[in-house]
Amino acid sequence: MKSFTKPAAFIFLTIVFASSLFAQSSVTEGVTVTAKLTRGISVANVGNGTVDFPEIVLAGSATSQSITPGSAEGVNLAITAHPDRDVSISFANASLTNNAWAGPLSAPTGSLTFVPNIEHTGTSSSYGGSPVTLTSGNAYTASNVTGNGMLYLWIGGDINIAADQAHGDYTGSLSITVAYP
Amino acid sequence: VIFNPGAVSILNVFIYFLIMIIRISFILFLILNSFSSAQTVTQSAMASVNLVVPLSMTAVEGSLDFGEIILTGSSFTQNINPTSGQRFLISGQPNRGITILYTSIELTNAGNPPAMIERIGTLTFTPNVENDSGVNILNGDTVTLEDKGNVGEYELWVGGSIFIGSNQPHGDYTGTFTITVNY
Repeated sequence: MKSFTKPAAFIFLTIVFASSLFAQSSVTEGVTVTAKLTRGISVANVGNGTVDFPEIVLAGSATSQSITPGSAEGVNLAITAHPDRDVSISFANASLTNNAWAGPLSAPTGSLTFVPNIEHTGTSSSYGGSPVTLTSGNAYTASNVTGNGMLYLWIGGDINIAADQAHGDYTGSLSITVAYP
Repeated sequence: VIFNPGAVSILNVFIYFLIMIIRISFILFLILNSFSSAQTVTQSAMASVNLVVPLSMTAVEGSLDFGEIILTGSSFTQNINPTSGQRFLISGQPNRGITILYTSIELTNAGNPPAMIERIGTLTFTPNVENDSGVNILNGDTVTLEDKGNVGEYELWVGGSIFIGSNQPHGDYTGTFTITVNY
């Protein structure tokens, strides 16, 4: 009986030593990896694509013409962005000229200033309710619609026609910049 | 008493024989003790233990946050340089070798509210691990803990990259990167 006592104790202590030796011979540390992928902004022209003033007959006196946002002559844009993110919207007056028309005809040239009037209807793709008039440079929320932020814009505007305005077909480009603030 | 064999004298001879008698008696005692007693057996074995400073590892500074990434509709890769990423400090036995283990992990946007994402997506985070000298440390590499006195230390800097597909779903992606160190 005694003959097993010391070897057994030796083996036991060996196991104890060994286990304590290797108990902290390995450590693991974890850190969280994060990435916030934000949806890129896209702007789609979902209306007729052109702010198209109907034919205007010059009367020899100054006048102005308007297109009301939401009207058939206006433009409807759909902004798609990250859900519930603000987007800043910037725009400026556009210059219209009759150069392309007058050039081939050697006709007098002229210019007009288009002053945009832009409203939004939030996530509603139909004009109505209580549209909000946009101020250039301000931020507006693209609210969540099935995982995308949506904001519908309705573009109209005014042109002032001088008494001696050159006749012809006037065209120009209105630029609207949408960005994350 | 020190026996000096170079100095021959009666006293030295006497001491020499006295020492020899003691040695022989001790050896006989051990032999007789091991053979004559059936009840008591003594065995001896060399016992040794090498007490090693336990390993520890701490994420001491930095992060693995890619921040906001605007999707462009095209595929691209986003990187975090290791020196701009997460720093780990490993402590243990000075001058002891350690093996460093890690793998790529998957990030997912599944933690977002379902209504806020179009669909669930995943990203693979491929780690880039360097030591404080800028040497790339690969998975499975063995390095030596630097002797800092009573403790050995080693610093790791972890950065990495994610590949973003052209139709990658948006959302907040998260995952847990783990790094294991063994003696």
